Amino acid sequence: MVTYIVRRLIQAIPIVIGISVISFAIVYLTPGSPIDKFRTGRVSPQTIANLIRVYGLDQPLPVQFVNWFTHFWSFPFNSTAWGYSFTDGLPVRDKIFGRAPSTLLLMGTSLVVSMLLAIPIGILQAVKQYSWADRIITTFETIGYAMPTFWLGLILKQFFSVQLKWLPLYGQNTLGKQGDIPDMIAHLILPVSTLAVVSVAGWSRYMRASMLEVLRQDYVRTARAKGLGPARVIGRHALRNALIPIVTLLGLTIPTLLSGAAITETVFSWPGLGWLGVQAVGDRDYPVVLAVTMIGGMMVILGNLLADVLYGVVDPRIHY
Amino acid sequence: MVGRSLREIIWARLRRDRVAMICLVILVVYYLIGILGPVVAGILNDSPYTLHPDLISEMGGKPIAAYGGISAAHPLGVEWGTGRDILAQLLFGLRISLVISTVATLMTVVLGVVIGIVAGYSRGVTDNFLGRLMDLILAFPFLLIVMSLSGVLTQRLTQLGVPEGNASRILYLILVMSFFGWPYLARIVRGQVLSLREREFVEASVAMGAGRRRILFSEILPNLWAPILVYATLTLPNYIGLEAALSFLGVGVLPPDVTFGSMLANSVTYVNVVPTYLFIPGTALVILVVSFNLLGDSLRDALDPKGVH
Repeated sequence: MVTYIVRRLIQAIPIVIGISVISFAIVYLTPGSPIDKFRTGRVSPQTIANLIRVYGLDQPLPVQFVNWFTHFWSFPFNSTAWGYSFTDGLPVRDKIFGRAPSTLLLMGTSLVVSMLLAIPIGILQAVKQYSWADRIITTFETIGYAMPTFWLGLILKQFFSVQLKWLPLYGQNTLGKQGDIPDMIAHLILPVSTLAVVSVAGWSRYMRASMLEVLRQDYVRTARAKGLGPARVIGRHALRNALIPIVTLLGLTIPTLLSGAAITETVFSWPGLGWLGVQAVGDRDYPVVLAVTMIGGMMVILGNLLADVLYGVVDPRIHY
Repeated sequence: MVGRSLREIIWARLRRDRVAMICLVILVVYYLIGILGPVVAGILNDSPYTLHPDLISEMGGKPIAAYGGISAAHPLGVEWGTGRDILAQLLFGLRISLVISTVATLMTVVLGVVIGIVAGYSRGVTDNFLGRLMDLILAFPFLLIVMSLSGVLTQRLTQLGVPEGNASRILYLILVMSFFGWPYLARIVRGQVLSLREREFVEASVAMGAGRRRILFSEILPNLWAPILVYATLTLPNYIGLEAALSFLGVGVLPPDVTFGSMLANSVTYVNVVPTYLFIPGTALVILVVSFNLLGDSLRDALDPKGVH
């Protein structure tokens, strides 16, 4: 297992370098420079030249890349490792570390909520296959899965915040109520619901299919034949095997815990990394875009690895 | 018992599936409207490019009639600020949405199938390289990259001779969707090819001296069309939703042209005052996407050899 993980990590190195080179190239080849906003005629050419030198924008591109890449990995010790944001001059690392808890909170809560709903719903549908409950839930799943996230988010916001005024419109806290837990929970409800509708719709379908597959197997019939009650057959014997594919899904979802959900965060102005990335692209804030892209890519690679490893952990038939 | 071809068997199974047939009818209607949109709008005597300044208030451009200007002549209302007919926008928008998602799906399928077959059949270095390439593409935060690149690549497309404006914007959407979409299908195809290449008919073909291209595309490919068809049916609705999401994030078609996505994105500004702007194109989009998804599911069941005949 350890050699497998090490091998996978080594295999990931070229991909990490690939992501770095391409993100860097993409971000720096876009027209327009962060300095452009100072070219108003009121800033002296000397100041502009100084700014270009301070930001290192006068260096050849490969040199800029190597500087940035080697610097990038010193982030645990160095708050300037990811450079300074072009919009407010703060170190990018601190900006991102500051946003990460919000993303983690939003994505973590919606992951837990989605799992807690999707697993029982999937089991119910599998056990009562083709019943009315199954059909109705399937219909809702199909619709939930088809709705664009931002559309669903806007509708929930329109209904619960604007019309009914039950829940806050945007943000993580009401102004001046930072750290107020009930206030934050009220702010969490809508974004979490938006994310949960889409993932529950997808996951409960997996759970249903996986449970149906397991219920057809001989050992489940044996368990029934020896007189075990339905709760025990399903809860103990079938469930554990039916959860195996869900564990893989879980591994693939974990990266989003840190990279966030750009669209949902934007709809609800949730101060997480997803929204930060969207804002940074709009502001041409290269260092922030780069850092967010790198984190996103890294999380996907780790998530794939995690999914494979978890699969081996829960399914002893798999050897590496 | 009369022998039936695979296509006949599957068609017979689909025919018995009521949900699949309803979805198929809905989709045919959508595509017909997409193709005939201008004709329908002509019958309604309106187009999404006609302004109706008489229907909106002079100050602020709010539609005068209730619910976003709904009237007998404009059953779905008119647009804020311009008075353009929403129904006509929907009819024309459907066309661009369908063009983007359909062409992008076709390109995704061609790329995914060709690369997947090559990777699965060649193994070794080529397979390894293509596998890493797929990992690399899948690891990119798609939305951010597409947003960052839209300016520079749209400009590059116009330099290459694509008409400026929405033509190049639409082409850009098609290109990025297929570029980031093919690896998913390529992985599925590769997996299938890995087992197909060990089968006797491939061995026989090799023994008879068939060239590589013949084996890949005349022997192996015909065995793959079931998963490819299912995948394509499920990818197309994804792309419709993706176009909407990208419009919301500011990458997409500009007025006066519209798509489902751009109508939704524009509605955000007025949603608090006129919620119908959000509901009408959204509902049209959800019906389209649901129909495709359900048809894809039915197709998967019909193509499943383990299914009940």
